[in-house]
Amino acid sequence: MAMTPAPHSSARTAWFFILPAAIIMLAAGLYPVISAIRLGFYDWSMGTPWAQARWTGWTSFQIVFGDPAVWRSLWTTLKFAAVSVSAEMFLGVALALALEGNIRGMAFFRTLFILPMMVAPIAVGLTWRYLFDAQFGPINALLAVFGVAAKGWLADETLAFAAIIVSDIWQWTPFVFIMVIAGLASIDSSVLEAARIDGARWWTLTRRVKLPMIAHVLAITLVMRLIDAFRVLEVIYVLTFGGPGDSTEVLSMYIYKTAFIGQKLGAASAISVLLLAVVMFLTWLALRMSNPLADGENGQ
Amino acid sequence: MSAGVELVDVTKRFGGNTIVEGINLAAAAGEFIVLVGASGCGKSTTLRMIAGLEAVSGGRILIGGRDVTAARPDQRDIAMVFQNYALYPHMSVAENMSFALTLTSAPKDEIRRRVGEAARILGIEDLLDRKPRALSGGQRQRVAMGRAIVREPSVFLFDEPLSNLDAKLRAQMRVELALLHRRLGKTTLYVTHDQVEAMTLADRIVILERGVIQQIGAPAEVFNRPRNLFVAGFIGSPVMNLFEGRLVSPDTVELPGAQVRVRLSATISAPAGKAVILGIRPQGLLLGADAGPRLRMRVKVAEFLGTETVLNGTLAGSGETLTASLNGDHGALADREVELAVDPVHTHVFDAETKLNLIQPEKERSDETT
Ligand SMILES: Nc1ncnc2c1ncn2[C@@H]1O[C@H](COP(=O)(O)OP(=O)(O)OP(=O)(O)O)[C@@H](O)[C@H]1O
Ligand SMILES: [Mg+2]
Repeated sequence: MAMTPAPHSSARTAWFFILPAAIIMLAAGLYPVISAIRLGFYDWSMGTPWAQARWTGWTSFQIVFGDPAVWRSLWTTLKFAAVSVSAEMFLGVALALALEGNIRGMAFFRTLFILPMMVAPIAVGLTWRYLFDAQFGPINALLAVFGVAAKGWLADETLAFAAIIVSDIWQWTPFVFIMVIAGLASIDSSVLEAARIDGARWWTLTRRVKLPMIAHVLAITLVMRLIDAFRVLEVIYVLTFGGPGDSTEVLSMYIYKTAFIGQKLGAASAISVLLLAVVMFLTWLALRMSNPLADGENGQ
Repeated sequence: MSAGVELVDVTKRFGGNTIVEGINLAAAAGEFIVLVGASGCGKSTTLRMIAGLEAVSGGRILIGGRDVTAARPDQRDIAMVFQNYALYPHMSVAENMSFALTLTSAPKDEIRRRVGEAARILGIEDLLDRKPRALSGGQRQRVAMGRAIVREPSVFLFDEPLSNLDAKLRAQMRVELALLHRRLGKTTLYVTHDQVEAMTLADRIVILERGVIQQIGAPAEVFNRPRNLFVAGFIGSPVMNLFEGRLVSPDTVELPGAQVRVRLSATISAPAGKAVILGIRPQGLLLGADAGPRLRMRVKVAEFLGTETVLNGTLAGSGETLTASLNGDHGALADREVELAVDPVHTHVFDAETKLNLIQPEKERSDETT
């Protein structure tokens, strides 16, 4: 439908009402970002007055970009995000497609599936730490039933990395699930009926009609999951604290260690800026592929 | 190819509610059947059962002589046009129209030829690359019809296809639909609320009430010889006037309230004194010098519609609602009392108990009404 351009005066009235909210949103959004960036140019320790902070200019940024640990943890983050978010998207979409029907008892299953999302990440970390525990954990106990030797899940580099991915998938697949369920529910049922008359069976219907019609939901879900995956901290903090070695040291874990263990807030801020840049780039990329905010065409 | 559609005792229940009750209908190949009825009477449900979108609870559906009761929608050789068009929003017009064909093994140039042909018939050749959101309501409507045409089905199903269009466009599309049907000659089942669509498009009209067929007949037949009170009240605009009365002789009905006797166009073989309901079409009331009994009408509102004037008011004496449709401009009659002669041709008499038309009883189907 074509939109008639609003007359000038009414557009101005709209701005008048939106402006206060917009300013607050901008301030609330921009202030932390700007102060994080500013902090990157100072050498400041927590507990000391800000006035004593020393201007260091680009030094922190230079150090950070020359620090192999930064690039290594960025790579770890990328691997973590790529694997866990792909798995979450796949599982979430698959579950939603399987459970979207009105079969009896589905409401119960749907509620069950979104429970993990409601648990605080710290609690999730603690739970999985117990589950993965080499001595007392149920996972090893279960393996023992099948005669598999006990594994030091969180002590092995590869297994620990797998463990944090498993816990993230467990917690966040439900998010994808409810987003997709909601998206599917919003599809006009007569379009699906038209497709059935046109001869589309389940797979064709899903791939060529349903999924393209919720492309904008998928895109926004992907962006939200990516942003979250890049900032993941609590579960890893509790589960592995970045170890063993540096195998699960994602960027935010490294920032945490730099800031609170190394007491280098300037450097930590500089790394945060790097993280911000990466997240912004990914968001831009995902939105470009299928922009739910634009009124143009979407979902190829 | 066109194929007949046959419904045999088709029934639909949702939970404990019977929505469609033992419908029997045989549409000949190429016939244009229009289903009408009040909202919720089961028109869409009937159409959806024919399409295979809804399973039947009982009975059989045959298309082209083949029993398709258990067949998938795409195996029934039908195409359906929905009220809201149901276009694929992420596909271009051309993709919308060719979707069904791409799911078969139809060769590419054959698909392109058929899409092009349908687009030409409907005058939407310039829109083929657009997405549905960039189309007007009328254009979407055409695309929806194009999508149906491209499949070259034996039967077209329409569920209120024009009801989302404005009056002018609806009139235009109605004519185009009639031309399209003449050109393609496909069996069509068409659901509508619109009297004009039903009267102008249909070879035969099916009137449904609470899932039961009340009458099947050509437009003139259901208008001139409504089988029962429901059909009489449903077909025709403005709605037929109905009064409680008494048969005083085989061809005269007395309206006790208004103290008038009305002559009928035919004689009725029922005992004098029988309680009946007299129906008079608004078109059957005449402002004229005719001798004979007159109805006195208190006119409240006179609506001049260009060629005729609709008088709304009450019957003097009884206070029952009365509507008259007069030729010409009679706007000046508002708030006046007028005397109207009754044209016997436009009178109908119904049994007050069975509600059946006593003038034209159709004995062969009288068991369908409960
Ligand atoms: N899936 C369903 N479950 C339960 N009841 C239903 C279902 N679909 C339709 N009905 C009921 O069946 C009845 C007939 O519905 P239908 O859609 O066939 O009516 P209709 O004649 O097309 O009405 P309208 O003119 O308003 O479109 C309605 O009372 C409706 O509530
Ligand atoms: Mg309907």
